Amino acid sequence: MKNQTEHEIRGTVRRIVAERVDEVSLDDSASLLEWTNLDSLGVVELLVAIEEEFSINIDFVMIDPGSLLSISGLTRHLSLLMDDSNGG
Amino acid sequence: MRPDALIDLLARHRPNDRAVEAGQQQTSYKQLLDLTRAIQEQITRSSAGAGPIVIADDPGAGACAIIAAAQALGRAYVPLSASHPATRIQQILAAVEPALIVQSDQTASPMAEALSGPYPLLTISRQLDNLSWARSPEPVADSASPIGSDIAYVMFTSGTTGRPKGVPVRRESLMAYLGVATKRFGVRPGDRASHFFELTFDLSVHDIFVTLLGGGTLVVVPAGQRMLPARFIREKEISHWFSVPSAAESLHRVGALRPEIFPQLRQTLFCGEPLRWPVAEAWQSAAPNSRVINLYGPTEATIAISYYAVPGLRSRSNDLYGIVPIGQVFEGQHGRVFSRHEAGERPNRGELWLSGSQVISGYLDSGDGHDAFASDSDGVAWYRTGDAVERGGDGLLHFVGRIDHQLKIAGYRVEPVEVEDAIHRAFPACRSIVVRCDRGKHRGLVAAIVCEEGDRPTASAVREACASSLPPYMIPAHVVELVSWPVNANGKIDRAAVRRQLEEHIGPDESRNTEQSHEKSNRA
Repeated sequence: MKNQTEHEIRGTVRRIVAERVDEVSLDDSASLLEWTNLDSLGVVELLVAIEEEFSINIDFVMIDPGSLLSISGLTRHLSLLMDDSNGG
Repeated sequence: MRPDALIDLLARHRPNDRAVEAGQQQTSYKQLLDLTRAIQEQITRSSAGAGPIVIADDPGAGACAIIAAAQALGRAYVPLSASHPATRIQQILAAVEPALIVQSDQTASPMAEALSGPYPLLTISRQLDNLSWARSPEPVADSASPIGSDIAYVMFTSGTTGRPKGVPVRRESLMAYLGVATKRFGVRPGDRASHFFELTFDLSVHDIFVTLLGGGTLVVVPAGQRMLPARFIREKEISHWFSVPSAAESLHRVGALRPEIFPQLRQTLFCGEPLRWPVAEAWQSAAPNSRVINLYGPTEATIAISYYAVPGLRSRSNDLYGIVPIGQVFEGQHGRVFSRHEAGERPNRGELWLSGSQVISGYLDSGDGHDAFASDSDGVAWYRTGDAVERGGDGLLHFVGRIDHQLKIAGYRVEPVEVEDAIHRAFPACRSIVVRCDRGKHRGLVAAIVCEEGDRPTASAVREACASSLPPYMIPAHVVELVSWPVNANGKIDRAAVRRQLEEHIGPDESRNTEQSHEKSNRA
């Protein structure tokens, strides 16, 4: 996994989300379930796509899925994961 | 069980045991009983007429108390959801003519427009310690409600007439279900049972009644956790889980159903949609101390009417099409496989018909569902489920599919014509076909549209039009414009071909050219 700044991570997350939702302008803090056409199945597929893009495994047993439901939340979580895997 | 049984049993449980947990709010059996009695007293003392009690509240202790009070008063309850548009809520209110509506502080503001009508409105405070009339009842001569005192609750499902269809379930039916459910799937004091379902979904009736009758703790699953509930189940130490299979399917998809991650689970029930064998097996290995039971039942047959206990090992006889059997009909209820014996049809396959005390005798609006009921030569009335089933050699029933166009989205029934009607009303120059796609780029509920003339509506405009009259689960996730409709040999639009076209031709791996020939625009 290569080093990415939070800015780069956010850009990638935005791109992956944009490929899947109808809404042209989506607030980074908006809930993907409430404000987009994605249903829970759509969000799960989005999360799988993000895992693949960043070559990481999100531990869905430990994490609160509610914290992954926005672009900001996803960026925050991915940044932490990247930091951890790069030794802090 | 007498009509006031729930309130009697609330009083018999240990007063300090926890009855309901919703987020940070914890309610003991004593508090729940006090609130139930307070609601009952407010209604008895007021001049509110006869007729059902509408619940405009989210799942939690407040809603449980309203339901217990309604039951003690011999009234039906009718649940509403704050996520449904005002027009739909007003259609429901007009159809049931309630005696009053009970709301909570939390739902008062989002539902203000929807509840602006003439009905008396009682508000429960956030701390559950105060009741006040937001709109006081005025003396009424007679109840105008079509719902009699023999009805326990009315649920509204998607209808083919462009209006929600009211399903009135009799007290007798609820008691028959609870008799089986408390015996076979009951909970006891100390057990912690999930409250996964929204009140507008009839499986919530099981959550509430079975848990509170048994003296367990009902733990509300927050909306943001329903999609991937692994952490919730562990953190809240759930012992009895009940959800649609989608929740397990999602956990399976992200690889979260690792062996023994739910050691504290002792019972798992799934209902509402087909349960796939690989998912059932992964769940069993994640919850090795839990028995896993697949339930089946339309709202018209009261929550669930057949069950199948998933065995440790899959065999050739119980694995038909990769789907877990729906098993056998509950004792005292009846099911038959009605076959038309058409050429080429398997003799043991047909439409599932149901009868017995759990089955409704008709819809709220007698204009709904003419075809849904049938009498056999012995004069027995049957409810035709519309579900195609196959009876295996061992007598077990297997779900095969629908005989009509009805779709299931996360356990909710969707009549495509109701969505198509909403789109056509907003965009008269467009015709649409609504299908459910399970593969390809556009998954979930998808509206394919063909427009004759004028400006093409954007995907978000179509979705907005749907959102103004339909509940969230009926809003298409994707809108794809097609050049023309695929037709069958009779010249009719071929729905299956529309679905195949959406699933196969515009998958993520297709070249851009292919995509454009079938999909002119799918974006706003």
